Amino acid sequence: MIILRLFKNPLFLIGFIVIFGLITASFVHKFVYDNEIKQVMFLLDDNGDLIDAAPIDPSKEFPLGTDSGGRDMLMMLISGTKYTLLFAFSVAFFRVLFSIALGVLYGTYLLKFKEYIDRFVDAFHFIPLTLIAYYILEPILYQSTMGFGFTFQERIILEGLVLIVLAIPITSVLIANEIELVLKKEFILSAKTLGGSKFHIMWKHIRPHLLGRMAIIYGQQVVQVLLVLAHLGLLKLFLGGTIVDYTIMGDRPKTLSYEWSGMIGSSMRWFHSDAEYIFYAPILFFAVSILAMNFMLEGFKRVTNDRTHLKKKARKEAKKFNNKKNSNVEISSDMFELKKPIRE
Amino acid sequence: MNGSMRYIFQFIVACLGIILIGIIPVIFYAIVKLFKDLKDILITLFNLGDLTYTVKGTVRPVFPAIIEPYLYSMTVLFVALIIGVVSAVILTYITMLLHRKIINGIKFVVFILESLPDIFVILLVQAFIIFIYHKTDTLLFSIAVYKEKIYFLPIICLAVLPAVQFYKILILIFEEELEQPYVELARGKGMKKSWILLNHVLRNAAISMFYHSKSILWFMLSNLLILEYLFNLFGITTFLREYMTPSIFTIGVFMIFFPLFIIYSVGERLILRLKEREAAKI
Repeated sequence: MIILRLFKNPLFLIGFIVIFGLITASFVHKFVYDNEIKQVMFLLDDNGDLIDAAPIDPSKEFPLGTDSGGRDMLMMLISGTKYTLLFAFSVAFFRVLFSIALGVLYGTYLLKFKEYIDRFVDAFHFIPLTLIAYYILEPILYQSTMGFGFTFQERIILEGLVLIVLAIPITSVLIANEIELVLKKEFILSAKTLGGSKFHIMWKHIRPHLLGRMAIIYGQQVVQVLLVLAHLGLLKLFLGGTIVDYTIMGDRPKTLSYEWSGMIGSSMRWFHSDAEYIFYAPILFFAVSILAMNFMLEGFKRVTNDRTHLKKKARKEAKKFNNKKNSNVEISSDMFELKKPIRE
Repeated sequence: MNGSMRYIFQFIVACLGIILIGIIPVIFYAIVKLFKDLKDILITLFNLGDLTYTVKGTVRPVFPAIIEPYLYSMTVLFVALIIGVVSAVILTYITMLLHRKIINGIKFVVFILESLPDIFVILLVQAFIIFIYHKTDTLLFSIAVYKEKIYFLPIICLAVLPAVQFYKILILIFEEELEQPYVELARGKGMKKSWILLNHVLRNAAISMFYHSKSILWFMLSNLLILEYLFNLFGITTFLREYMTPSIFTIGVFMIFFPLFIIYSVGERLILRLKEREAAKI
């Protein structure tokens, strides 16, 4: 029972509770509180005197403070959690899915061209993913004076597609290399000798070996997508599009929901001010969820590398076997040979 | 195909990869335009002097304007890489002489540091500098600048994460190496642990570190982009972001790729040579 053992691992458990807690809180906020954000423009004391005006510093009532519109940062970030995390999870899922398909194809039929394919994909190693994603997505996500060229759904899908496609070459090669490692093992040779087809070997021998690795690659991809989202947000490309105010009173760029990359981008101007916590809050959320994902990954790695449970199982079975053997045997006096007591 | 021929061929294949990456965005808009852009990129690759970019309506040649931000970025990148590697090696060496339990504690701290996103680390360093400024009224290093070159703080910010990553990998490699039979032999001969680490283990670890450095460098490149944005530095990634066209993008990526390709080819060549020589000795 790997799942049971996973939840016994403290690292995995902590990571899981953080991620699961964030998402649950976000949905609770949506369905119970109807996405309402607390908004306070002025803080008055008991006499009705002004203490503070928005942006309000972090306090007991507003753990992460409020932005210049008096909206509670914590609530906005919680509300945005679902979009950000679910987007990252699904992009990572499709990345791994397509990469497995390509990686298997590569590992099975194209290994002859390995040297050249690897060099070709190597080129991807020299461009920051954020830069090329920015290059492609800027015209799609950043509102021009003419408005957006695509609808909201189209923008989300296109952004997802770009983030998926850009990672596929490197991830496929990674998976193909894993497959190649397994193919070099001795039992594959015996399977081949016994007449196993390529498909049979893939399904029966390589698949079980890869499952654990895939889980790790998936986790790493989630982290990577979150990082790219944070970077894009910093460069003012928000998940689902950046709304830009082109009137003379130009407001700061806005995001449609409270997803985190938008929160980073639109709070960037507070960076070198007294209210820099406005900028730190969304980054803190990114950092915490990335850390939690890494905790889960590390926990998973430790659990899958840990072989003590196998030993325990073996010991248990040996014990059971011994008990069984004993229960069937009745001890009687004629089973023993009586010897003369050794006495001088 | 052997020796240098193979490297030339690999180089050409990798170049084709880069050119294709430069065109990716275009696929999104029209497949037809793809062929035109491919032609453009190929033409500009052979007429670099004619390539231009537009700033507020005025057209300027890309060369030599791109050279200065390029050299600036590369300086920051490589100095940060060297600082990262050197500090990781020194830290690992000191760490390995410590007690087992302390090493495990350090490993956990490193794991947490490594898991933090780059933006967070860069901001922490900046916040720290501001904090010192508020407390003591001395600004250690300038934090954000307007088209002016600062080196110290960006390099430190950029070096932190690779240093942590190299450190983590090095500890793993060192621990693996220490279980090798030759270490036991050396110990049996009465050599000190510090001497074995320095003279034998470090040398063997260098090779695996070289191969690991590739992915760390990739990671550093995207850190560089964020760093240049947050510090408002005018480096190569800023240039590419602001004046982006398929041709300029391709040229820029090519310029980043070129020195790295040379370093890695030469490095791989050297390692192969070394291995052959070792084999010949036996």
